[in-house]
Amino acid sequence: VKAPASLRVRLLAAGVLWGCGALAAGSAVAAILVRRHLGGDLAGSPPTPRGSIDRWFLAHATLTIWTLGSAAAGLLAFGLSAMRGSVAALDRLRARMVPLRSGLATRLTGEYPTEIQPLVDDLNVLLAARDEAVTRAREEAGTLAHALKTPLSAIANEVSAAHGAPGGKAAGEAWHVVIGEQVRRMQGTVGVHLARARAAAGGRVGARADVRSTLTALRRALARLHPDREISVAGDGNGASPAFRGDRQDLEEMLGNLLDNACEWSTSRVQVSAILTGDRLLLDVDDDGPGLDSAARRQVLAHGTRLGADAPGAGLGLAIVRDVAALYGGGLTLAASPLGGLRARLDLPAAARGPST
Amino acid sequence: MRILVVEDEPVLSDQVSASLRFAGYAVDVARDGPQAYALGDVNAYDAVILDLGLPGMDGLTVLGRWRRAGRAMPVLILTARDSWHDKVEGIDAGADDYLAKPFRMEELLARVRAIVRRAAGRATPELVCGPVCLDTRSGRVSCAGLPVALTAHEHRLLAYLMHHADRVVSRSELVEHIYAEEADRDSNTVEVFVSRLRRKLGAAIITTVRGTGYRLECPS
Repeated sequence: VKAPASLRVRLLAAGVLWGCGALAAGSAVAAILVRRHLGGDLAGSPPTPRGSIDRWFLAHATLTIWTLGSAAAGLLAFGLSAMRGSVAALDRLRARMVPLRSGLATRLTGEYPTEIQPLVDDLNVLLAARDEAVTRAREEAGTLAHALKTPLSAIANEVSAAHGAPGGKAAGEAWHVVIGEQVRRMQGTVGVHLARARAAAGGRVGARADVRSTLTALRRALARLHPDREISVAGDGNGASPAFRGDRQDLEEMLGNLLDNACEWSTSRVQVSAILTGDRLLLDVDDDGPGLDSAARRQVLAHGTRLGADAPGAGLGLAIVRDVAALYGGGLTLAASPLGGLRARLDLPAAARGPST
Repeated sequence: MRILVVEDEPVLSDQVSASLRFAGYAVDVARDGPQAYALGDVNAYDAVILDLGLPGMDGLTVLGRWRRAGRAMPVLILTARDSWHDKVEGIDAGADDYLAKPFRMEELLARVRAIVRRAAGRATPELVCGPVCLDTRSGRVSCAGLPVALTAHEHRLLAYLMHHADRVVSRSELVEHIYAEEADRDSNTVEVFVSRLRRKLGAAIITTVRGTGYRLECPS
């Protein structure tokens, strides 16, 4: 069963076996008919002189019929199993496609009949090429952002310096407001579209991100950036870690923005919890800060895309999280947190349980 | 307080270093990776502002090499690469803070003050020593509630002493931290600055530890 023979050989064998089986079956039926014919004669009328062949046949008829019959059954059964063996390879291929789609595997594995193997190899080459293209697109988006952000920063600094300079305010009121506003818009656009490009490129086949290890890395960074905040993970350490069906960098981006935002607004505590319900992954980020009332919550999400000059990063960060989650068919909702502040809930597709790590 | 700015984009580099100088810091500038590594390896900086995409040697490599060589000065990464993946990588390489472009200059200055303070083990932005109070946010110095006007060098020297108020600071250490790379150095001028500070803030505030250096006296 394991040996992936050639499909042609298997089908040929099945054909030959079935041919022989059919021949044997036909012969058995013929033997039955002949015996009935001869036997009928034997039973109905007085014995008539017969040829020696008839007598020999009648003497051996039962054995002959049984031998031919069982040979026919055996040959047909072997032929069927040879046939099924070749179809099983196709079934196996289909079964291996499932983890590929649900994010558990990145390549097709296993040995296949020589006619199918090249197809599988081609598919794997295609998957590899796609991964590579995604990586390259990402790098180029990063390079583009780097190239644009630095000069934009320089312009923004120059404008704000001119704004602060004596006389600059009265003389240049109009131009510095216009340039400042346009630069801010360009910066916002670069940020949002870079995140979208990253996420759109992230629809990679078989992508899967482990929630626990992503959180570990983020907490390490956030401990440095917000040394006076305590970030705890609820339900840590029991059972297999849930996983997100998508790119790890996108998960890092969404969770990082939410955690950073929570740290920014919290008094001292931030808590993350991951809940797996069916094929959905719910990630809650809670803080013990002042929170937002329901009107403000709606407003933050509705106007999130606009860069608020007085709320650096916050509005934009949530907008990016919302957009990336939406690209994965998920969403971001805000609610009141049991800790007293804001609860941001990410609803994302979960990856099927993988090999326990 | 002396700072190294590593940025290959000349306009931005000038803006950042000008703002830092205006805020009272002595500033050195590096435009590529190898130069940045060399400067950071031999000089005692109170903070480094580090861009990541540098010609010659990548910023993360520079940072990693400093840390492996035991250089522990606080480092703020200033970069256009603002993904959390990059942030985690930067912090793991040994950065103390991470600021993404586009940024506001006030934000950068606040972050620099914070990492300098944290590195010196100071929790509040206002440093107090007896009657003398230094507000690191505004740079204002007051003595017994009255504002005191200080020159840039006096200010840097006082700020360094106040960040390290718990120990004796040697004269050469002070020279290292109040002058930029290209400045004319003369350790005798440290004495001049100290005596001027004593005149402005009271003679008892700085004591000379013979053969070692100076110590700030903070009656608690």
